[in-house]
Amino acid sequence: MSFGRMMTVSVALLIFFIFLVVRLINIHVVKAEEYSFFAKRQQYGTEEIPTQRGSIFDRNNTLLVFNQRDVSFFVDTRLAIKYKKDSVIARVFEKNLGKDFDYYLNLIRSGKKFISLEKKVSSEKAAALRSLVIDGLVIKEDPTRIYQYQTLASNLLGFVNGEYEGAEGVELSANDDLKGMPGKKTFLRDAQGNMISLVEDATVYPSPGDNIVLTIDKEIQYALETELKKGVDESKADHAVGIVMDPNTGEVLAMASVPDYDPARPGDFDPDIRKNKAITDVYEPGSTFKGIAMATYLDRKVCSPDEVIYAENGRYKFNGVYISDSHGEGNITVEKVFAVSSNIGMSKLSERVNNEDFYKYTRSFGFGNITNVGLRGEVKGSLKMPSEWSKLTKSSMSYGYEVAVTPIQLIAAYAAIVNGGNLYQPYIIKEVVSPGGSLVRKNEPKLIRNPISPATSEIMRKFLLEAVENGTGKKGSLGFGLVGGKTGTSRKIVDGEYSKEKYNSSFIGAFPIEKPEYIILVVVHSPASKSYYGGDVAAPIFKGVAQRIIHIDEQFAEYRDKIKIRKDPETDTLRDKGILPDSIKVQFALEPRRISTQSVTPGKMPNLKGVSLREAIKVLNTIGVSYVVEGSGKIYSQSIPPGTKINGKAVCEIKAQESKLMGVNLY
Amino acid sequence: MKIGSKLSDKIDLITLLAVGILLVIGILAIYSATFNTVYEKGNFIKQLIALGLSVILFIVIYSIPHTFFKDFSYPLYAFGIFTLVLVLIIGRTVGGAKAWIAFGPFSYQPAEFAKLFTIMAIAKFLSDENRDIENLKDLGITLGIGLAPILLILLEPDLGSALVFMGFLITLIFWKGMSLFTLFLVLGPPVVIVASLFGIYYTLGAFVLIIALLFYFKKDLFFSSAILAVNFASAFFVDYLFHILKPHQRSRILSFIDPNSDPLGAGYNAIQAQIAIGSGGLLGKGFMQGNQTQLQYIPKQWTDFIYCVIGEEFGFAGSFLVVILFTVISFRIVKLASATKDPFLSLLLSGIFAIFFIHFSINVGMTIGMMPVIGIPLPFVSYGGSSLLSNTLMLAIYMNIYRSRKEFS
Repeated sequence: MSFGRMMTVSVALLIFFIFLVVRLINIHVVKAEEYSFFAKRQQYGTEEIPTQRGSIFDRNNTLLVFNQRDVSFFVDTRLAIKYKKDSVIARVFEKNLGKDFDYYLNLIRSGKKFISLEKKVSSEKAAALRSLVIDGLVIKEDPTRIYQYQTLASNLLGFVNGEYEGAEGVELSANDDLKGMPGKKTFLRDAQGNMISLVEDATVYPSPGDNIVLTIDKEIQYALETELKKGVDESKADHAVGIVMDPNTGEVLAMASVPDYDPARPGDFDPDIRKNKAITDVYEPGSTFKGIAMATYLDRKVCSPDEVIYAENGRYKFNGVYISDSHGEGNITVEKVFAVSSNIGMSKLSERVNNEDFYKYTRSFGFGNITNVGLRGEVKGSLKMPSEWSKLTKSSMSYGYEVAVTPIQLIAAYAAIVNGGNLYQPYIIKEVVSPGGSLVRKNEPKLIRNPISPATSEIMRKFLLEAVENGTGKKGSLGFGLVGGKTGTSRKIVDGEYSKEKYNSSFIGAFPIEKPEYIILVVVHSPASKSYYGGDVAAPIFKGVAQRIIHIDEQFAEYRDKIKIRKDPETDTLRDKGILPDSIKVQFALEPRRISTQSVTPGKMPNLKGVSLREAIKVLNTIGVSYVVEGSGKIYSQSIPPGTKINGKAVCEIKAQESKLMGVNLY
Repeated sequence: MKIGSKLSDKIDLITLLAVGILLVIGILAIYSATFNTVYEKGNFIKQLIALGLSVILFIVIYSIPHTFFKDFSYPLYAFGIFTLVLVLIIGRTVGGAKAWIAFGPFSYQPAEFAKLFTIMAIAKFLSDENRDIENLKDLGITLGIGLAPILLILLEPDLGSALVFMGFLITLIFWKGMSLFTLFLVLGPPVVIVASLFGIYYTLGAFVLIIALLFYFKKDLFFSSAILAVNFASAFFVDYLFHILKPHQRSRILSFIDPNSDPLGAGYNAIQAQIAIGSGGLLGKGFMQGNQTQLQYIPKQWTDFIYCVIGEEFGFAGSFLVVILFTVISFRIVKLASATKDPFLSLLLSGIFAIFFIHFSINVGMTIGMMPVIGIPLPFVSYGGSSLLSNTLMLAIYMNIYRSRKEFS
């Protein structure tokens, strides 16, 4: 029609076109990054994939601590009620877990927004419930830390807190090894927030924590605890501490405090009971410390074993203070001074060593320093510097006063005394092993120094034997000249003064004393029995433990007929009847081994053993090998041996099986 | 103009190609948008069936004599009005509007075809000799023909379609020859109303424009003052008008002004659409690779928000192509409308142009945040059989007139 109108329309069209294009460039190009960010933020979700905490084994791979794969169920009540799923949930749970329909329904309808329907349901019972998808029902993996032998080694092992992190003991000290790395899954979600698909590339799988192998021998630990408990009962003591160690390596074979607690419910126990007193509590050792002093005298050669010392018939004024012996003696040899535990003799001999030397020896035995046994909370005791000493200090120290030690310090020092003069660092963790079974770290015996010579050590072994055979330690003897040891009885300090009623009664002994394999320290605190002497209270406990070790360790088989175990009527019978749990021995490498497609060399057959079937197929696809599969689970056999050169036609037959024990989790 | 026997003389190949490309893009986008849905997967097949029917319809309409359009204008208009009444009685309500008549698995949207029939009726009325659009009676009748279907459609209510009717009504009146001053009289108040929704600065701007135009037209002082007063009154009535809107319409207008005012409600679609397009970048994420589309962040994306599937999966390249194609189609129709000497056919073509352009501009405009969210489809691209058939019908009329253009050039 009119040209003018067409032009008007055309110009309007062009202007609109330009507007649109400018706007499109603005959105598509200028703001692309901003919009992409918003898009990703709403489209991608992430969620943590929980990892598995490592397990704890004893030195013989007996499983002590592991995870039980429990499941907890929660209900978002508003959602469940909105979609009318409350009765569905109640019915399913009634059917599977046996509680009343009404119980569950009332719980869901209690009016709370979020309720916990069932906590820690075992994996077996939860099997049918685990895969449920019901509106409002939240299913959460909620593993339970299982301490297989309940209270056994509880003070040593510690426990985990609510967040499944180690709170005390080995669980705490080795937490970094045990905890593992949680994974993260990235997924695409739709507008309703439903997870649509996993984004493989952006998903990090969790790496489970490493397993800890302790130096502890579960059987010896049991022996020590049984005897300590019996000893505490019999002497009506407040508590007792015991350690068994290999004197030739520093490996702690058992470590116990009595009374102990149940690590499954640590909150029910007083923190003081949960402490590992073998490393956290100090005491004045009394006569057991004479071993340190005597080793010093002999090593400094200030006396000979046969030299005669006048013991003043049990009462002697030294620097203005009376020192007394419990059994007065006259002229006795140095050896006898040690055997009968004469304070007077020890004091007199201490005058022959100058303060600095005496201090240096004590220090070189490890006193006044932590041993670094590998546990948190270890204390260093107290060892005064010579400058702080009074005229009496050295004399007091020679029979175990004015010095405070931890049990672990004392046993480490005695190990050096009997093993030829080598002070080893005591340790509790033998190995750290990956879930796949490979060694991550191994702790080797660590020689710190040689506080005394082998010759001194040899004399000391004789002295210790004499102290048991003919001295104060008779009740610690196993006969056959096996045991060398020393008793100790010290007054406890109560309110800053030496108590007249409370004592520490202790015994430290090694056997076979000719060439010691075991060294055992027993410290009983505040016995209330008629006799409070270490020789009466602690030595029998030592003996009980030693007797049991004779029956555990094959090298003592010849003595088993002659040395019987003093059976505990309660626990031992229970154990014989199988009521107390027996050992669970687990081989490593049960967890599927992980293999990455990147680590595979093309043209060469990889080792697929122990790898999950899924991953094995992925790898074979990557390197282009055809395969025939038999079974499912984990590969245990492959027809083409690892390392073989492969060509395009190769067909590998792989066989897989489900492992009954997935990892170290038993369920 | 000489018309030979070459194909390019019988059919406008440029427009045909442009529409063909739009159809392919549309089919791909519908396939992609419905692929992950549970209940809408069949839409792709339904659209293909509608496409098949469209081809038949095209061939038929293309072949008939062009005189048919003028001869049947009033009966078709009557039929259109009848179906619009019928849908109010037996119609199916989808998305709040009673706009569909169901035939088994298919449904028919009377408003789609009523658009064309109304254009034909107005074109016929205005093309009669001695019609003067500046004459109050003729203008009244023209508006009457146009407003009858608008009222019926507002009863459904389908605001989007009603706006399209108003759009082509204005276009036809303009094309018939209404002076710019009259148009200014008619369009002034609506412009002021829209501007006042955006706030005081826009309102002041609109008034500056109106006063400038009043000086340009140089009418006497009394008349000019009256016009200004009417515009002022419109501005002050906005508040009142705004309050008689339905809440969801009100929130749509508000969310257009600021989508983030209600990001999970009325502004949700606008925001999600722009996220989809923006994240597509220059070349897009690839066919079926648009997360925003595949995860269904934009509800019913295969209908009114199809443009953001294209933007996300084919990027700027895809969305720019669509804009180019519609602009080309628009120019081609306007060119023919201008060249055609037959007043009826010229008016008919201008109306067809108006329908295509209004659909395109409102649909793309709302998707990229230049206009409020008004639910109308993108011609040839959006899912919907009625829409496709009616658009094909209009394309066929265009091609028919193109084929016989010699007769009246």
